[in-house]
Amino acid sequence: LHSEFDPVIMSAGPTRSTTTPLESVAPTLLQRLSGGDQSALGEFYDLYAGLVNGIALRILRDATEAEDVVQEVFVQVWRQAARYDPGRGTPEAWICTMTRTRALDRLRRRAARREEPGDAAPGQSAAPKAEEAIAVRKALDGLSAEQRHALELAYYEGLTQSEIAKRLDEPLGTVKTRIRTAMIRLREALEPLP
Amino acid sequence: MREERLRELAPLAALGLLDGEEAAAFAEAAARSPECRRDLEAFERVVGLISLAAPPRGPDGE
Repeated sequence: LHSEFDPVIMSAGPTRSTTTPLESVAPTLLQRLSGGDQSALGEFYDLYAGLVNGIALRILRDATEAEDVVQEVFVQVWRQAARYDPGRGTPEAWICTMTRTRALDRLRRRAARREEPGDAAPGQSAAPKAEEAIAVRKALDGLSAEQRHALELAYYEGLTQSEIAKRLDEPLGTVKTRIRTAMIRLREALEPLP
Repeated sequence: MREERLRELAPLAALGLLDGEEAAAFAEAAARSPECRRDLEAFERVVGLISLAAPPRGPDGE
């Protein structure tokens, strides 16, 4: 099943129709998890650990801290699987949000301690679904440099709107509009993705 | 806040950028308006997808 793709995430690519789509596997796993099935946690981990680690590493730029986030996220998945609501988004979006929240919390705590980031250890994260990743990158490239920059400050540095405005030395309204426009353009560009 | 104006907050809400009054107003709007919820979900999906394009960066940026 996993042979042609990164073992972590397997549903992308031209052979999608012949593999089991991730989006049909993950909700079932979550159901099993909320029923207390521990083996489901291992399978869920295999699917998403690379993605979670990649996001955490990108935000934190510290391999050890990223690993801590991975642990925390999967503990949270185990505890809160029953709370997952399919109506609120895909399991992937759910776990991405969890990861971002935890990684950004750490980033803020680190900033509060005035610590410098440690050495990053790039490269070991899972390759995300290739086709989707390319589409997303293309969509991001379609944004203006200003839009992308404002979005990155929100996404990867977890800055508030006011902090972004200050950093960019732009009025708050301009920053809001920029981020909103960027998100609308991304939404349009990414609509065709499954 | 007018409905239109509230829906405009959806992309910012998906990024977790709202706070205080705006956050409360938007949460209330999302609770009562299916369109608002759909918008929020669509933008949350975008937020999830952005992470796919993110190869980890080295300590010195891109």
